[in-house]
This record gives sequence, structure tokens and C-alpha cells, in this order.
Amino acid sequence: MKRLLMAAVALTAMTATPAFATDTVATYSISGSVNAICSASPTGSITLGNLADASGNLNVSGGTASDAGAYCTGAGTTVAVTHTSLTTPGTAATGFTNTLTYTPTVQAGATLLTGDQPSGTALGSFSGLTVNVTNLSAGGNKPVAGTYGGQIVVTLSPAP
Amino acid sequence: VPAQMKVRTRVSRAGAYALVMVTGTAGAVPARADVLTVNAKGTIGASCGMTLTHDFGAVNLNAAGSAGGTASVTCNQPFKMNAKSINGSIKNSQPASAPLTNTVPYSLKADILLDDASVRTATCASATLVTGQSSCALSPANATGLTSNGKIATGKTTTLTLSWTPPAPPTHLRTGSYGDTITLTIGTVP
Repeated sequence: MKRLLMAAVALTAMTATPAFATDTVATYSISGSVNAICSASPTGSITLGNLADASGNLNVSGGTASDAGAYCTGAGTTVAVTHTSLTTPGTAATGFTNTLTYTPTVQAGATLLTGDQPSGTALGSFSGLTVNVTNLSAGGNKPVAGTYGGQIVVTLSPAP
Repeated sequence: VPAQMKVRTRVSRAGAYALVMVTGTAGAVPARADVLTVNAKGTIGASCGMTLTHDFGAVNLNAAGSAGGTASVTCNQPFKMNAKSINGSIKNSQPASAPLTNTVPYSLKADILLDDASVRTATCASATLVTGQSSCALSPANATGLTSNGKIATGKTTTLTLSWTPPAPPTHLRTGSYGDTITLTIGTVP
């Protein structure tokens, strides 16, 4: 009889507990990282055309090559710029030259760098690269006939 | 008076008879089964529980991909599910200016397996999972939520699938660490 009474008490206690709705949560984490990278066309060209006018004087001041798809994602990205003058083989007589000098400029995103940057310059992340030949000069001489070639090397070093 | 005496006598005899019967039952008559009926009445309260069984973890954001997460769900009455994203994307805390971006939008698909083997599914864009949003079934402010359609789940696995695609050029992701937190909530449906 005691057992029956105890069971009855237990049932009463269960029915007295109110039913309630419980929200339950699980928290998920997503993590990832994006490495510092740079991307640019490995080569480009600046075609200056005929450099001299009918009098044989230099009549071109510069030119441009653009790489709209170039970019670097890292805030610590640096850029180094070096160049070689435009030259043509052979020996130039007095009053003539086979070497044309110029100043390279590099526009990376909103950053404009003028002249060589041999030791690397802070650049940060950017998109869009333009390389320019500016201030092309024959030093007051007439450029000798021939095909001229030079190089501007832009080195992008990605860093976070 | 005689009448009263007679009554007393009968009472006395009846009492003696009863005494004999009780004694006799205890000693020689087989035990007779007594039937006792106890009416038990109770209510089982609504109970829902969910346990994270597999987290998304680290993902590769440099290429399109997907990651899976799971939860074990037990709910003894119909329920609903909602999800809330802290960032609304997989995000880097540092700002980025165009053409760089610091966010990777994603989609979250939830497959809720139920006791009857049916599956309830919804796929929501991450932007619809931030606080206050209600446009998708899993959106945190969607009062209906992704329902179990009247079914229950007992230790059943809900599978979450996260899918993302890096931005298309000329937009690029800025360098750094990215992350988001998704809080999955289940609640009983009245």
C-alpha cells in the first residue's frame, strides 16, 4: 500500500511540472585566410613608333602600357622598378646618339611612383598597373637611325 | 424488551459467524485475487535538444568551394530551425576599397533529417541570415523558420552545407584572415 501511494505521488509531481518549449542553439565557426598574392602580365610592350621627325630630331616624349588586370592583395606589398635606356647598336657620330634616356613611372592603383625604385617601395594592395616612359630625351642630339629597345622591370613582392 | 433481546442475540450470532468465516478463509480457502485499479495521468513536456557534431572549420577562400557541418537534433514535437550569421559573409575585419573586397558571400543549405526519413531543406544567402532579416526560411527574423513539417526528430542529423565563390576579377580579396559565426537555433512549434 505504501508503494502504491508513493507511485501516485510521483505521478502527481510529473503532471504538476508545466510543459515548456526550449530553444536550443549550436554555434558554428567558419575561418579562412587569403594569402598575399600579386598577379600581372609577365610581359608588356610600349611601342613608341617613329622617334624622329623629318629633321631627324626626337619627336616622341613617351608612351604607356597598361595592365588593367594586375593586382596585389597584400597591404605589405612592395614594388621595385628598374629600367634600361633605349639603345640601338652601333656607334653614333658627333651630334648623334644611339641612346635615349627616359624616366619610368609606374602607376599602381592610386599610387604613382616616379623613377627607379631599386630597393623596393611600399605599395600595398592595388588593382590596375600602368607603366610609362616619360621625359624621353636624346640629350640634344639626333637619334641615329635604327631600332631602339629598352626595358622597364617592375617587380611586385606580395606581403600581408 | 424480548424483541430487543432477540435482536441482540442475532447480532451476537452474526458476529460469531463472521469471526469463524474470517478464520476459515485464512486457513483453508484459496486466496482470492483483488483488483486494484490505479489511474495514472501525466504529460510529457516539449523537449528539444541539439548538439554540434561537426564544425565547418578552416576553409580555402582562394577558390570556390564548400564545407559541411552537422548537428544531432532531438525534438519530441514539431519544431522549426533558424540560423543567424554575425557578418552576413565570410569577412576580414580590415576595410578594403575597390577593387579589393573583404567579404566572401556564401550560401547556407540546411538538410534536416526527421524520424520518418523525410528531409526538410532550405538554402539561404548569407546576407539573409543577419539579425533582422526574414526573407529566407532560415532567416533569424523569419517567424515560421524551416519547419519540420509536423514531424519530430530523435537523434537525427541535420547537415549544413556552406558554399562560396571568390569574387570575379577585377575584384579581388584583400589579404588576411576571414571568418564568420553561424548560430543555429531550433524551437518547438506550438
